[in-house]
Amino acid sequence: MLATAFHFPGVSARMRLSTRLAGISLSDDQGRPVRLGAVWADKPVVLVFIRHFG
Amino acid sequence: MRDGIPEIHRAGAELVIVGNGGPSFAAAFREDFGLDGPLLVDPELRGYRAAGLRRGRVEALSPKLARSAARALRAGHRQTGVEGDAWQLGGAFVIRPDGSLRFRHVADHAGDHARLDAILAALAPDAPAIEESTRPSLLQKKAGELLGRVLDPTIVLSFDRNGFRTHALTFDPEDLDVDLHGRRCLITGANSGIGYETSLALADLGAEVVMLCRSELRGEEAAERIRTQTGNRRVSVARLDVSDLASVRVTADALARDGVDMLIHNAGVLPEQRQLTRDGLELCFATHVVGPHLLTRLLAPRLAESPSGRVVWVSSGGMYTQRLDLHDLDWSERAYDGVRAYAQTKRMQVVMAGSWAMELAGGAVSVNAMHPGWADTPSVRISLPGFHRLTRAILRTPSEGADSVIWLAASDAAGALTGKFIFDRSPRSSHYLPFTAERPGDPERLWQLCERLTARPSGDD
Repeated sequence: MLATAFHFPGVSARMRLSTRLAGISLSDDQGRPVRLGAVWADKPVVLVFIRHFG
Repeated sequence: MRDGIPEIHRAGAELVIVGNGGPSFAAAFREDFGLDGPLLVDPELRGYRAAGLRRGRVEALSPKLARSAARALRAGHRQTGVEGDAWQLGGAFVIRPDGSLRFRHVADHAGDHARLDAILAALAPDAPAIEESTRPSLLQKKAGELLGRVLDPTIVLSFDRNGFRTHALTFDPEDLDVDLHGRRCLITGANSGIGYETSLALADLGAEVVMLCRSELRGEEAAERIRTQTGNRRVSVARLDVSDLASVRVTADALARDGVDMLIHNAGVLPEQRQLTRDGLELCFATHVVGPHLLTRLLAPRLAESPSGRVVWVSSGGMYTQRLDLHDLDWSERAYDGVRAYAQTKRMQVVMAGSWAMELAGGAVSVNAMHPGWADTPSVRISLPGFHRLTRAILRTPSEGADSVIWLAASDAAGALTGKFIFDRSPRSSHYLPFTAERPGDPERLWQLCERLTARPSGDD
């Protein structure tokens, strides 16, 4: 019945990439926590996920 | 990409790099690539997963990457092949402050990099937003068919373990820094899953825990594990089949000889076939609604004596799909649908929690319903095997599912809440779909029905 779950307006808004990422907290290379949502709060961001360091 | 940094800055944007190794490799990477911008580490791949990035076979390391690996090694960092998840592929995104997505590149093989000119074009103020498809993947589609029937369609994403971990960032760790010595807690369905985790946590906080189980044997095994693990000897088992009103009366009478501070309605059932109890009630309705109502009724006087009485109804996100419906409660007029019967009676629990909150208002008893999200419990494995198979990778642990139950039972903060519907320690709307609003008078009718069904037969006193 609710395969429609994924077509429900509330869901599509929540499924935006920015929404999915915003709440995730990572660390910077000094070990300080950085919430991803904060990185595009003030200006556009080019967010690059690299394959690996090393 | 490094060569593009000045141009990215000129376009008013920032370049943020996320890597999946640890901090030491980030430092080597920064030095070798001459980066001075933000560099984040994501060894648990939470960001990668949320961004939908693929994992694939790794090709040979590029000379540049091999150099930073060598440098890390010289700096004393142990290096075995590749730091981070060697199978992880990358991707690049442009996100504007309004959250809109302007560029998306998801690598599908190693060496598949985003083009700088395309990124720069996406940074132009008039670049169009990418319409984000809400079309599910095949896996989501299959899961969605199952999930959608039992689960909250609008906060579907937050039900999983990532949702818990995101919500948990806002939890106050001091909330559960409490001493429950001298408090007595009763939990139905306590020998496995969320009931077990709740029993364990409350015993660990010092409470006396009475585990109410259909099987004394399984209950005793679970109780012994808890006693061993916590050192709390005040963990006991009482036999109770909450779907059987006679069993509820016998057990409640015995339990009411001592004080009761917390009552947790956790026992649940999702039958494949229609079953009627000895009292002639459909099994879900008896287990989730009528039995708990009677248990609450019989223990309410003791709860009212507690300095901070708590009643917790463990409902389910599945209830979001259902409108309270009092028609054909014994399923005699239609083909039985266990998932629907389950979700419908889980809706009733939320309504009954609200009614009980009003019934006990003015005293020191708080009554709330909650839902645990999707947790990997024996009930889910047995009752929804297809759902379990498809979603097992994202299910919460039972203890994550139990967190809000524990919080509602134990924290001072929760004592101030009553008549609420809680998910991840916060009150939530109990309706997300417009057609699920209760019809006027239905909550009262459900209450009266429960009162009638649980009234002692005349002459039985």
